[in-house]
Amino acid sequence: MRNLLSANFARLWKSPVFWVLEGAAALFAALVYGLALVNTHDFGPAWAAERANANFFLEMMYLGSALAIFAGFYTGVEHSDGTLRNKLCVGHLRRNVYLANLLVCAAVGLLLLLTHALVACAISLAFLPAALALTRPAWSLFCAASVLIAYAALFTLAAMLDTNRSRMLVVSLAASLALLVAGMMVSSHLRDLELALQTVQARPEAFTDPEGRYQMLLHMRTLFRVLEALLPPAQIMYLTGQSGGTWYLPLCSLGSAMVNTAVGVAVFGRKDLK
Amino acid sequence: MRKLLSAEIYRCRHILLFWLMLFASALSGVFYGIVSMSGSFDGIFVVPLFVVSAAFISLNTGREYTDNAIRNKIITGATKTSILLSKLILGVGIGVLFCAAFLVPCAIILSFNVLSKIPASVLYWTLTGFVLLSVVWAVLFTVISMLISAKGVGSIINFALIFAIMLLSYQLRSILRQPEFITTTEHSMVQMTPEEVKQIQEGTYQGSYSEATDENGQVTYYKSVLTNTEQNPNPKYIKQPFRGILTHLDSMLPHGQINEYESCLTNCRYEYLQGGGAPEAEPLEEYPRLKIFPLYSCFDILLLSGIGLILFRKKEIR
Repeated sequence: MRNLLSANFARLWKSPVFWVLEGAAALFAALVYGLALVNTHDFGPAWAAERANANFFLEMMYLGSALAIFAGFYTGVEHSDGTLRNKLCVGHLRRNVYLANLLVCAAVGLLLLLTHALVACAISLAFLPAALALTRPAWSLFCAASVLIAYAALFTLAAMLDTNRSRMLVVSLAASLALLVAGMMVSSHLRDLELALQTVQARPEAFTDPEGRYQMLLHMRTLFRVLEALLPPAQIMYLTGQSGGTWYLPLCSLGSAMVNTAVGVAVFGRKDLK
Repeated sequence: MRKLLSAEIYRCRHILLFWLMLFASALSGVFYGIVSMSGSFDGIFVVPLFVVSAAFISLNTGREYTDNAIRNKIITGATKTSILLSKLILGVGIGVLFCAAFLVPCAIILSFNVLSKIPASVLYWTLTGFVLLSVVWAVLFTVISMLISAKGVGSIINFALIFAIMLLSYQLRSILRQPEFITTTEHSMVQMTPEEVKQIQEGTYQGSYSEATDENGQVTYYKSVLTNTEQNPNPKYIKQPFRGILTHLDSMLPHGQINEYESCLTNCRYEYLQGGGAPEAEPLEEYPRLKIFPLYSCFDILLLSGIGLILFRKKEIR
């Protein structure tokens, strides 16, 4: 396993896809904080402090797609150039090969987040310290890491099981966008439901059947909470906002990563590699 | 070229991917119809149609490069021009078909309570323009996929272009919607007349006011009066000729057209609900660009096809 990891990381540092994604992450951070500087000039210093969370975690919107691209080019190429077959020929277990690729993909996600953070800190500390006023930095970073690990598990599953790299790239990219939109819609609907529940409790006289409506809203909230737990990107709205989100969401993301990995290892173990 | 085209159509009809993507377009139409029923028309929910179109065209063309089908076509005597033209014609057909698969379920869902609120002229120009801009997207994806033979890179560029053009069009809309003048007003507090004070005490005064109590307990009522209004030029307003250039660019971008369609359709719906019936004014007078968007789309198609032809003829096919 150690040999696999060192070989994977040695290949990673020479991978052009990795450095292009790192450059894109740095450029995006520079753009976001550059715009924050301009807007602070127009709206005042309080604006930067209010938008600190949103600016810092805005990159979570595209990191899923970035990981899909990385998994496609870095892991997916192993099928076509025979690297995967060679690893198995020299005696490595399929499980170890899968896990090594997963760890590299997860590490890339965290490295992209780190690059964004470093550029954000460099610009903010030099010009706009208020932009670093994150409300709950440790918890938010843990949540962001759990979302990235969930994405890495999903796209490693796709890259290891699908031998057609083009198809895997297109499907993974479309899936990353669909997951992001679905997660944000579920999160938004959940907030609307919470507001509706508070309204029914505060003003029951405004409704013809307040008890019935309350029960219906409770059932819908339960459904949306289940959906929220199943969709790791649903946490992104909490990361960019002021509220902390529920404590179990990052654990659910890590749980979905474990399930995806278990399924991936099981299916990859039986896959016929040509 | 006729044989190339019939081969392309035969191949499309017999691959599962085509029917899957057609079904995905229909699903995205259902999704758009459901989302548009409750609120306003939002252009971002049209994007799944273009993602599906990009996915199909990228995969279909990428497979031809992988299987060396394009090289074989050249070896058998087909010119690069005829190969690309057959692909472009197929792209136009794909654009129209996927757009129809999107619009039909969307129209069925919206016909229940929404389409009747929109004038027929607006619907006509919107549908015509939407079909043409779907063709523009399909031609763009075809050109990119034919010029970039590296596996997967073409599909990534196509997806990235969808969002880049969308963000650019939002930015252009924000810039072009800046008002020419910024109105600043000055108010001063004026003591209210005895008649107005009497109205306050009777509870019949309409408007805002404030009261101040002095050390003797006497209450004095004040109201805010507009004393000065100034209109200053907005420094963010873009003047001619740059404004004209940006407007043309916004009209050329497919998502720029979608922004205008969504504004017009939402406006028609809002006016209908507010006015209790059909709007009095002709909506197309407020949105004159709707009638010339089809021309811009035709120009885009010709421009992209021309660029694609020039570059593909110089491309080395290995």
